[in-house]
Amino acid sequence: MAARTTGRATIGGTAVAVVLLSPYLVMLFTSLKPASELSLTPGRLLPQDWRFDNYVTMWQAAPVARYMLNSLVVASSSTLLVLLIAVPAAYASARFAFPGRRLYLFAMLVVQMLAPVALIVGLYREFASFRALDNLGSLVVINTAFNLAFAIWLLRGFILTIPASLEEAAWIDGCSRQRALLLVVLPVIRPGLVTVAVYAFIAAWNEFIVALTLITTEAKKPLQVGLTQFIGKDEVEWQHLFATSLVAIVPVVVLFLLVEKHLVGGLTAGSVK
Amino acid sequence: MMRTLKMSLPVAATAAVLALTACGGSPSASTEDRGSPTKSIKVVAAEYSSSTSPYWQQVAKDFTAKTGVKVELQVIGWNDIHQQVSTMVQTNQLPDVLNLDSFSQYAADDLLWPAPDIETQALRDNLPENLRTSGSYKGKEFGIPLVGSDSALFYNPAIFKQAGLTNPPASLDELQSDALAVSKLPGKVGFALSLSPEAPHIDFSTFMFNMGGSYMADGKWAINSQQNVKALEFLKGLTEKKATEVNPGKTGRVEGSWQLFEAGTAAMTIGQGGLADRLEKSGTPYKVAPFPAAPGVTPTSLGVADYIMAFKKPGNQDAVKQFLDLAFSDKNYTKFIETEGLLPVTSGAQAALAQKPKFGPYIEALKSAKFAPVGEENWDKVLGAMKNSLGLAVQGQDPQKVLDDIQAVATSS
Amino acid sequence: MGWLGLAGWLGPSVVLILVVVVYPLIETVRSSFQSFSLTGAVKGSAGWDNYRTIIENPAFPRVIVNTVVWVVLGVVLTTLVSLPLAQLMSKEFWGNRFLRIALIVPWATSVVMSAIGFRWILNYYYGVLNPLLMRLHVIAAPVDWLGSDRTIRWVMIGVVAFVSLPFTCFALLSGLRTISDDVLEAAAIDGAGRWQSYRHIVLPLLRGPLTVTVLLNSIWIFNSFPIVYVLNKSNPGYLSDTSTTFMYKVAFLTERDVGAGAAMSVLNVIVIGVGVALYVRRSRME
Repeated sequence: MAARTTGRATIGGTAVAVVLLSPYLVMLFTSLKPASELSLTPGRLLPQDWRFDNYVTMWQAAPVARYMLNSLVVASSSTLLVLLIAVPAAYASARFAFPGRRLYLFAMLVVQMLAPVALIVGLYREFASFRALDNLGSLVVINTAFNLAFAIWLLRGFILTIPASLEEAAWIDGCSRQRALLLVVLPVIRPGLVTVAVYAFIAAWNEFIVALTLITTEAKKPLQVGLTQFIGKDEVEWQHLFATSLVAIVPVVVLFLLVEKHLVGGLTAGSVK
Repeated sequence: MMRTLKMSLPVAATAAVLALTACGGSPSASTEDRGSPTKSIKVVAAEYSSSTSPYWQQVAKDFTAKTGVKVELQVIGWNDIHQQVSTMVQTNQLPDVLNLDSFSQYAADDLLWPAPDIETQALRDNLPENLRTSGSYKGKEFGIPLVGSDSALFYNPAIFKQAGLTNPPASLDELQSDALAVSKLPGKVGFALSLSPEAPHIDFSTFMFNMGGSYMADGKWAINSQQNVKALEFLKGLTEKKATEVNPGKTGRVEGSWQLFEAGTAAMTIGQGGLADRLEKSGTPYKVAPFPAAPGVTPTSLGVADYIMAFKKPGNQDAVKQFLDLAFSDKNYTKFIETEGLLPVTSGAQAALAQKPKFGPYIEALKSAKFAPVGEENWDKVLGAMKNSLGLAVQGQDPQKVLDDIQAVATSS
Repeated sequence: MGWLGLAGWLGPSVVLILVVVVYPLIETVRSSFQSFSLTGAVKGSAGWDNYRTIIENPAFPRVIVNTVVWVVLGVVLTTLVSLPLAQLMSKEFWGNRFLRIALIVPWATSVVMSAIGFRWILNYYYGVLNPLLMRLHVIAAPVDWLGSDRTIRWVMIGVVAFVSLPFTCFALLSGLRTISDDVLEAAAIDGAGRWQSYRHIVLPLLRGPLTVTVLLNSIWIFNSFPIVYVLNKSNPGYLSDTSTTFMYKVAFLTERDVGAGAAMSVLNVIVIGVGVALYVRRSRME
């Protein structure tokens, strides 16, 4: 009886998994086709002539390397900033009682719900008046702000689980609060830090609308925007488009697998224990 | 300003030395002082094909070699260039030189140099008058035509034969019956029509002009005129009778109607030199014919000119002037035109290419082609409205209403 | 600790939120009362004209209906698929790990890339979905999924549910984990059938996570921009636009009317505000 239900679960689970992966498999097969097979009607799933060298030629098809570098710079800078700003903020909101704490945490919750798209006109005009359009630094700042709320809520949750006595012991040993945070708290909340880092990195890596609106120079475009502009150019090189996409997807999926456990808790901050 | 002052002497001195070494044959130094001459200019150009960038890079190289002024070059695809340029304008990161299909909105905001101020006499003399004045806004020239194009009917003789047809259609009725005949063949499309937001005005205008319509009458917008409505109804009819591909309202040109024609699926489409190049590459059989016109209408084609314009910035006038001179130099310009498959606008290049079969007939047709009213202040809005709504007419909306709405945009203030 | 000390801990986060969230919000509201030239220069005060322009736009009612349908059906579909899927994932079986990895992929992939993939798969002439469905005899002739007004909205809802599944499944799964096996066993002994024990025991216990995912998904799907932007890019008009893509097109692409776009943004923010209020009312802050 038990074996039979597990068997059924295996079949059902595998079927669902294949459906979930199928769009990406189509992208994979398309990325291995020669250009001439892309306008065949009706479309075919598998290439007739397998072109693995598309993964070499894609680097020349568009400034793909440049796009990736831009995304990397924006995502890693904003990840670093998120950590630097969120750790003290999470600590203070977990450990200090101060008037306005509820308001502060509430504001962070609201920020987490707002997406840049809702404010895009205002962001655009603001950064225009700062003369900061078409600037990767602006992307870093905006990404940092929108990922901060998640980070603060998640880290605060981790810090609350640490008994205060642990830190107090360190104070007695003559540590300042800051040193105790560094030496005692941070090592304990390492899984939280990793989760925040990965989430902030991926969110910035995948961000689309701010970059679409603010960046105009080809050489400054991050990957997400660079890719959509394959569409509608003289001839769409779908094989290169998908080859590039897959190269960008794989590392992100691996990172995600590492932290999946903690993500849900962070995303449902404030409402699920 | 403070920053420049702080730049201290040694830096300034180094810069001066560099400037000296950089340009052996120093630029014919500006005699009038209109702000200090710029050290670099920003050039923004629309991408026609993969050979667009090399052309501008060559011009930039020649220009920097000659003047020592650097060039920051951006070549942007048609889907994005309008939005990106308005971002530049709003943030005051104006380009010095811009190549686009419209200029009137910038002229209206008083951002552009009048064309005579940035054309050398040689360049001015080289532009035929009808093309030159097409770049006028309120009677003053601002846009300098860079390239022209006109459309023709492309048809695939192999598919025609399959459908039992021999000659290209000589009338619009024949065009429709030929397209229907082809569409009956399995997997074939009679007429590939492009009315998606990419560039629906090209196909629409071609039908509109050849059915006796026009954008303006007596100096006023007349987009919802009776003839124009009839033209759009004709396209709606073609679509509903399934003489076209499945949904022209969402079919673009380069990845839509042209790709269908290139793949040997569609028997007819409206094309330009750029399509011919693609067909040569892919080996698709094709022939080009004049577009058929309604009885009593002189056959014409839609002429489109794209313009080059220069934004007023202190100190950039001379640099821009020299840049344009090089852009239109016979050496660079003729090569550009030949690889793009677009039509030349200078008398020199027109004469040089008139003998080539690939250009001759098109150049001749350009002389009688009709142009869209690109110099009107509202043209950009009208174009936006056409892009967003012409396709609706083949997706169930009433053509009369579609054109009424566009007319309302055109006449709004 | 004094305010100064506190500022050292919280200051940077407060400043960043003020600059990147609060100020743009104010700027959006301000822009919605100004009129702009085609090139984006401020021409002067517009009063309520921008709001009038946007509401009187003939497409406005259609966009509102689209948005409601998009959010409601998107959330319903996501939830209905996620519930059994989370149940399945909570079981031990060979291949469980594979299913989890497969579920991570659409989550980690940027929505833009997934949408581009779907755009290609659904292409009328070159896509693989039509030939597949025809071979399976589901459809007799190719369907123009993205070009026809009848199909595109269902396709977009399907795609948004597809990308919302992973988060929802994992969130519900973590909720299922908190239900102890004893409860279920006790129910089984009482003779409750599988469906009955699910309906009367599991679902009520899942109420918390379920409400949270429904609220969060509603807000996220409302905000979702890339799916409609990418899948609907070649279609004229606003027939299939939702309130965010409508706002974006009006402000930056078609009418290029920044003021009217800002007015639409303000309306959108108000809707999000309502969603957030509902969410916060549910949240246990301290």
